[in-house]
Amino acid sequence: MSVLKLENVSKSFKRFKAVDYMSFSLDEGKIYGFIGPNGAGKSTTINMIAGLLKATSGTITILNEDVSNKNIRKYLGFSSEFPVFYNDMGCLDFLIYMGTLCGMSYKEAYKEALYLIDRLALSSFENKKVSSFSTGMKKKVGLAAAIIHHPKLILLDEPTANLDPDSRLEIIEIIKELASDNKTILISSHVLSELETFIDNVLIIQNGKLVLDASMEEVQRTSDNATLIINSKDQRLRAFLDHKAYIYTLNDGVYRVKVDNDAKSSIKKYIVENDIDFKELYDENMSLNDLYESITKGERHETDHS
Amino acid sequence: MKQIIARNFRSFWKISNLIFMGFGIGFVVALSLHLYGKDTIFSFEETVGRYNVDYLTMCAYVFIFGIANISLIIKTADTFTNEIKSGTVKLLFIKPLSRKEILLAKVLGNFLGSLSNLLFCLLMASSLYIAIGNLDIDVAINIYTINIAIFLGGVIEILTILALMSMLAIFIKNNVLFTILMIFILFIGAGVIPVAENIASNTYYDLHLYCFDLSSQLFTLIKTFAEPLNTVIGTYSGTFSTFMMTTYSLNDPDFIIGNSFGSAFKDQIGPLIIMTVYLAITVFSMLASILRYDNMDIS
Repeated sequence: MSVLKLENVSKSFKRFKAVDYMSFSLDEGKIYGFIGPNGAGKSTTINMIAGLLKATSGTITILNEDVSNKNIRKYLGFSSEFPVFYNDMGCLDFLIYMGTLCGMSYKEAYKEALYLIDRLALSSFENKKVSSFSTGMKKKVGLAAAIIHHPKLILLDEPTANLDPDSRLEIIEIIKELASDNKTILISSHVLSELETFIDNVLIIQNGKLVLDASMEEVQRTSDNATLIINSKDQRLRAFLDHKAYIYTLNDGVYRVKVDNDAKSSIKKYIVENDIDFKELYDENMSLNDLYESITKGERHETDHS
Repeated sequence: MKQIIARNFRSFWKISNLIFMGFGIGFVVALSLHLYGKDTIFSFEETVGRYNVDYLTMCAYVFIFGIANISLIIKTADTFTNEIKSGTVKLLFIKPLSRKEILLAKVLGNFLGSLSNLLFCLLMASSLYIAIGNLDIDVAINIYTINIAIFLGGVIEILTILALMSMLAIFIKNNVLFTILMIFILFIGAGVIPVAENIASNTYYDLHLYCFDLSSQLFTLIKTFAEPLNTVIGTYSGTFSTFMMTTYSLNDPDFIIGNSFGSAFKDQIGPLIIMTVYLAITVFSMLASILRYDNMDIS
């Protein structure tokens, strides 16, 4: 079931087109990584989904209802990159206020706020003013405020930025728990090595356009730039790689060959046919960072040529 | 929506605001004690005859102008300008509430908060008057009822100013500029002084006639409600002319207050027209605020 659907959504700020005819949809219970260079249009897109910005054209629907419908926003949770709080409110009061604004009763909101405060290890700060919190703690409270009302769609902008390693793991655990509870999560982040460990799908945006929308499995299956790792002392293999002019590095008998799928097949075929002795032979999956670089740099080269 | 109303209402009863009110009340007490024993201050017979009730004027000036309006400027700036600037308005815009509801809830919260401040201050003023001044029951009844009249006059005034302030806060988005502009507008519209005087004096005339006639108490209450409307509106209409006339009659303030355009105009058809104009200003301000708020991009 599609929880969020964007159809030909554009957003212009005067003459600048921040988002250009973007279309994608998010399925229930999955974690989506939303990545792209600075200024690509990620935050603009997230803000449009959250209802903070109005799309210049196109439609955004959450659970088949237009995002402008106020009632649909009770199914939406949002935590911005730099969460903001009321200076006069303590952590517990703030979370209760956020919960009751989403239609929860005071009792429900109170109970849920206490649970989240405990879950995020903020118990000793529950009555302290959020404005006095560290950046990392503010992030946690921002996340708690986004999920207190059990939304079906959660938008998280850089949820782990400026957090210490323990807090990062804590937040990632919570995100995974939310997904297992059938919530759909869209995460914008620049920490790709971290993101690839828990996202199901990736959306890459460049110059306001969506350039990739795929599952992580799909990405790894179809990627033709993976690295082939061969651990072999056989000199015939080196001669073959040199002869074919493949790019590789050799370190203590371990070859890391960066080739496309066809070349990979050709190397494997050569090893089998010539009975090359090897200890290990496997494909090293493409990292999200490699994929991101190949797409965004490719785009940049195309732009340069044009 | 009720949570936003409650939050805005509560902001008027914070320690900072209570201290602010405390200063106002302290000022009135100090001035009352200073003036105690001077006939013109606490003698109604004399003061009404001169179309001037000093104590009430003073209270109205301190509480309506000094506290209710200044609090409103601070709170309106906080509710609209600061929230947009700091980004906390995002917290509300992503909730299942329309922007219209958010705006109206904030305005209503501020309105009720301000009125509660005003009511509290005027009750204090009445009590102080009775405690320090004349304990005669006749005067006690009068003073409370007159303050109800001042309160109702304040309701109209606060509503109009609040609508105007909300619109300016949303459009200007700059705290300093907004505050300077609002104080300037309030000073120009310093009709609160003649408003208070007119309310107090005119209501007193009716109360004086009917005070111990129980059957006419209800009528008095209705009059109390109706009279401030006329007076406030009439005096508002006179505010601009008063301001203009000030330049010509600086040496004769009684002329400005007592015989202003508003005072003469309020018995004519003028109040209806002026009421419509002021209602239109309030409605226009609110509609403009809603439109702007509704189409505002926050990022």
